[in-house]
Amino acid sequence: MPDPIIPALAQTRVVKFARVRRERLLPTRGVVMVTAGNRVGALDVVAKVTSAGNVRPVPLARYLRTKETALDKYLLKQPGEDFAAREILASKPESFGMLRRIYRAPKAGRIVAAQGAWLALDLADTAFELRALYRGTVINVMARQGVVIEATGALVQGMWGAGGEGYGVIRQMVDQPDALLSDDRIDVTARGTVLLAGAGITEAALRRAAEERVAGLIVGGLAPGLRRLCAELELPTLVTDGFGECAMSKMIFELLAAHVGEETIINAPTVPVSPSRPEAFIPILAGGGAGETAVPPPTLLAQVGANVRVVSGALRGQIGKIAEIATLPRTLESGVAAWGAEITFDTGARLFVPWENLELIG
Amino acid sequence: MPDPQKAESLLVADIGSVTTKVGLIDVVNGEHRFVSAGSAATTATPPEADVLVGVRDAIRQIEARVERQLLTDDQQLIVPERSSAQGVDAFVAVTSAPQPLRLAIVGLSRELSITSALRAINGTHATVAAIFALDETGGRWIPVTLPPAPDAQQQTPTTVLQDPAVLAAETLARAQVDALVLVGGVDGGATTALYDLANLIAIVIAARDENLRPLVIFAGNNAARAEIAKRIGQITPLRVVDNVRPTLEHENLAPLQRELDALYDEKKIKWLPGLGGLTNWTAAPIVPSAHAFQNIVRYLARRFGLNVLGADLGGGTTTIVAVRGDSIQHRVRADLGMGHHLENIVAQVPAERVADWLPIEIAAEEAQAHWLNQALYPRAVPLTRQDAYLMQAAARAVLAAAARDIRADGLDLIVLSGGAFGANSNLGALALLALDAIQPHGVFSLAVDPFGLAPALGGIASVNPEAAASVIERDGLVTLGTVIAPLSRNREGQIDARVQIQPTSSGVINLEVQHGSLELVPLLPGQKAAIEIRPAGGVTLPQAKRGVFKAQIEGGALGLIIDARGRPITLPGDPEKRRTKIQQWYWDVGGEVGYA
Repeated sequence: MPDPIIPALAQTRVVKFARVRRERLLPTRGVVMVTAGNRVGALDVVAKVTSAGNVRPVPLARYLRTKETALDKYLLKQPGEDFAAREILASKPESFGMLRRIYRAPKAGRIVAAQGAWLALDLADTAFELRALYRGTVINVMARQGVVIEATGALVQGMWGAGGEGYGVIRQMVDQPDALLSDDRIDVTARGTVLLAGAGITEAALRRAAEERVAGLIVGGLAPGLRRLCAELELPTLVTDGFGECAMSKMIFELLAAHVGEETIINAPTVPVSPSRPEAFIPILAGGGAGETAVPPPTLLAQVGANVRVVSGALRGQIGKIAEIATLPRTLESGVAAWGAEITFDTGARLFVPWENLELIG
Repeated sequence: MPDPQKAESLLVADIGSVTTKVGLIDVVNGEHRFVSAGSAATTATPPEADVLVGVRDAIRQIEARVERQLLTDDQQLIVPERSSAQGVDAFVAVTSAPQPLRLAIVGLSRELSITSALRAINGTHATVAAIFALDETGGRWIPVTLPPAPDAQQQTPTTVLQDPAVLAAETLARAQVDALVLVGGVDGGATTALYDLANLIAIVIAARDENLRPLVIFAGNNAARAEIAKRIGQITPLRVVDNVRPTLEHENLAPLQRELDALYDEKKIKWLPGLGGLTNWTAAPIVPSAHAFQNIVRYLARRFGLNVLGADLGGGTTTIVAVRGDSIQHRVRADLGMGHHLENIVAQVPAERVADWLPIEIAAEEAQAHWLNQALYPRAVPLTRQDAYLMQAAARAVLAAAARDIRADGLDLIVLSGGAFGANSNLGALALLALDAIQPHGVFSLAVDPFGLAPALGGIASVNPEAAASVIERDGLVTLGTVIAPLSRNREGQIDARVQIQPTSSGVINLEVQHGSLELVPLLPGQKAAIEIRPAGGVTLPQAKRGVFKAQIEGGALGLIIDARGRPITLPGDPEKRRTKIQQWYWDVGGEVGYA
C-alpha cells in the first residue's frame, strides 16, 4: 500500500521569539521618510501622503456657467498649485465686468487635475502618516510606496481581525483562556492598553473598550453579531480562535500572558479579503535565554509529533500532536469519508481528525 | 509541446479559490475515459503563494491511486506521455482562483443601459462596486449629514446640500476599481449627456496617480465614440466595444462580456501566483472556470437537444447557466460561494431565517458562527450530522441567491457541480438541496458531477472536444433520476396527481400523490419505465397534453422523485412543525444521514 498523502495544511504562527519582515505600504504614492538601516519605533512615521486619496471633484464649468473650452482662462490656480481655505480658485467676469462669478476653495489643499468641465481638488486635511508599527530596522525602501521593516519578537497570528492597527502595553483582563470579558472589568485604566481577553467579550464590554479608547483587543472568540461593531468602533481586534464563544488556545494565551506589561502591536486591517493574516507582535530585543539569536520562524511540517489545532467542529481550538497518520480514510458521523490523522490532546484523549479540519500551529 | 487536439492522455485541472481538482483522462478501449481524480487545497495565497503547489499535491494523489508516474523527480509534469505510460500528452487548466474584477458602472439610464450592462457583467468574473445613473439624480442637490470636526466647539453633525454629480464623482474616486464601464444612449442618439459623464469619469481618473488609473470600457452610443476617446483616451487606456443597448428594444451583451473576459485574463489570471510554472506545462490558454462550465452546459443542451440548467457551487464563485435553444442565461456570482463568501450569506440571511431549512434546533448565533468559521477554513469537512445540516442549509442559501432570477420552468436536465456536490456527499440530500434552492417545476432529470470536474472538462472542450464529449457522456455525470414537480393550488393532503409507473422489468406501480408530499420511487440506473401522470384540478404540469403526461423515463442513483410540495415551497411557521417537515423530506429522499 502506498504511503498516505498528507495535503498542504493551513498554518498559524505562534512564535515566542523570531525575526520577521513586514511590508509597510502607503495607500497611495507619497513620500518615504526613512532610509534603509534606520532604526524605527512603533510610532515613528516612516512615510506619508499629503492626501489619502480623498479627492473632491468640482463641476466648475457648470458652477461658473461657462463652456468647458473657456474654463482655462477663468482659472486663477493651475494643477499642482496649493491653495488656502476660502481662496478664490476661479473667477469669471459677468455683467460687463461689474460682477464676478467665483469659486472659493472649501478647504486648504492642492489642485490635482483640471479636465474638461471639472476640477479635482486634493484637500490637505486628509493627510495620512504611515507609522512603523513594528519596532525594528528598515531593511528596504520602496520609493514613494513604503518600507520593509525587520523586527524581532513574539508573534501570534489570528484567524480574523478588524479595526485597524493598535499599539499599547498588553494588559491581562481575565484569569483563564475560557473566561468572558464583561464591561465591569474595563475602566479608565484600560486607556491606551491592549486588552487580553479569553473566550469572548460582551457587546457592552466592546463598547466600553472603545469609549475608554483602548489600543486594541485580543480575544479567543467573537460573537458573529459583533464583527461589524469592531470595524465601526475602529477598535483594533484580533480574534485568535474563531467565531462564537470559544476559549483562547492555551498556547496563545500563555504566550501573551507572559508578556503582560510589555508593548504590543495589533495589525488587523478591516478588509474583506487580505493576503496576510492579522497578527499581534510583541517586540523583544533579545530572546528569553541568554545569547538566543532571532531567526525566521521555522517551517512547519505535517508529520508525526507536529503541533496541530482543530479548526472545526466540537473540538475547535484544541491543540494536540499528530500521533499517527491514518493509512485509510475513515467515515465520520456526518457520513463523509476523510483522510486524516490520530491526534493526542493535552487531556490524554486520542482522536481521529480529518486533515481538512487541522492546521499546523507553532 | 504536443497538440492537445491529438492528445490521448490528458490531465485536467480546475484551480478554484479553495480547492484544486485534477482529473486524469486516458484512452480505454478506444474511447477517452475518466481514470482518476485528486484534490488539494489551492495554494494561491501565503505561505505558499504558488498555485503549482496545490496542483502537484492533487497530481500526486492520482499517481498514488493509479500507480502511474506523472511528475518528474524535480516535480515537473512529464509531457508528452512516454512509451512506459509515464506522464500525459497534454495538460489543460481552468481557474476561478483570482479575485473577480472590480467595476464601476456609469450610465445615463438605470432602467435601460445600466440594466443591460449589469446583465452583461453578471455573466463574467466581476463585481460591481459602484453605479452612477444620471437619470436618478434629477439634478436636485442632496442633503448630506457631515460629522463634526474633531476640534469643533459643538460636537453636533451638520447637514448640507451637495451636488449629486459631485457625490457621484467622490464615490467613484473612492471605489478602488479595475475598470469603469461607461454606457448610455442608443446608437445614433443624443450624445451631450454622455459627454458630461465622460467629463466626470475623466476628472476622477485624472486625479489619480498615473500608475493606479483604472481603464475605461465604453459600451454606449456608437456616435459618441470619437468624442469619448478625445475626453478619456488621453488620460487612461480606453477600450471601445459595441453598444450594450443599441436600440431601446434590443440588447447586445456579448461584446462587453468578451472585453471583460479578456480583462479578467489580463488583470487577474495572468497575475495568479505560480501561473508561469503552470503555463510551461500547457499550450492551451488557462480560461475562467465559469466559461468552461458554460461550455459543458451548452454542449449537453446541443448534443441531446435539451433545455439544461447547470449550477456550479464553488468555494468562491457560484455559476448558473441555463440554455434553452439559442437562449443562454449565464450568472457568475463572484460574491457567493461555500468558502470565504459564506460571510455574505451570514450578512444576507436575517437571524430569524437562519434555521428555515434546518431539521435540527439550533440558535441562530451558533449557526452563524459555524458558517463564519467555515468561511475561515473552507476546506473543513462536516464531522457531525449537525455540521452536515448546517453546510447544506448554507449551500441552499447560496444556490437560491445565485439562481434567484433564473427561469426554473421548462427544463429537461439540471446538472449540479461544485465542492458541495462532490464525491463524499449523500445524493438524496443533494437532490433535496437543489430542489429546495432552485425550486424548478415540470418534468426533468437531475444529474450530479461527482468529481467536481465539469468546468475542467469544459476547458478541454475547446482544445479536444472529442475527449470532453466522451468523458462527460460516459463518466462525468451521475444521473440521480427523474423529477416530477407540478405547480399546484391545492391544499396539503389533497390529491395533486395520479401516477402510473411501468418499469420494464417489474410490475405496475400506481400512486396517488398528495399535495405537500415528496415521494421517491426506486428506479435503478439504466432501468427504463413508462410513466403516465394525470394531474388533478388546480394542478399544472406544462408537459401534459389533454390532461395526461406520458413519457419513457430512465432511473438513476435515486430513481423517480415526485416533488408535490408546490412552488414556491412554503414552510410551516411553527418552528417545531417546520423542523419535523424538513426532517420528513430528508427521510423521503433518503438523505437522512446528513451530508454524506
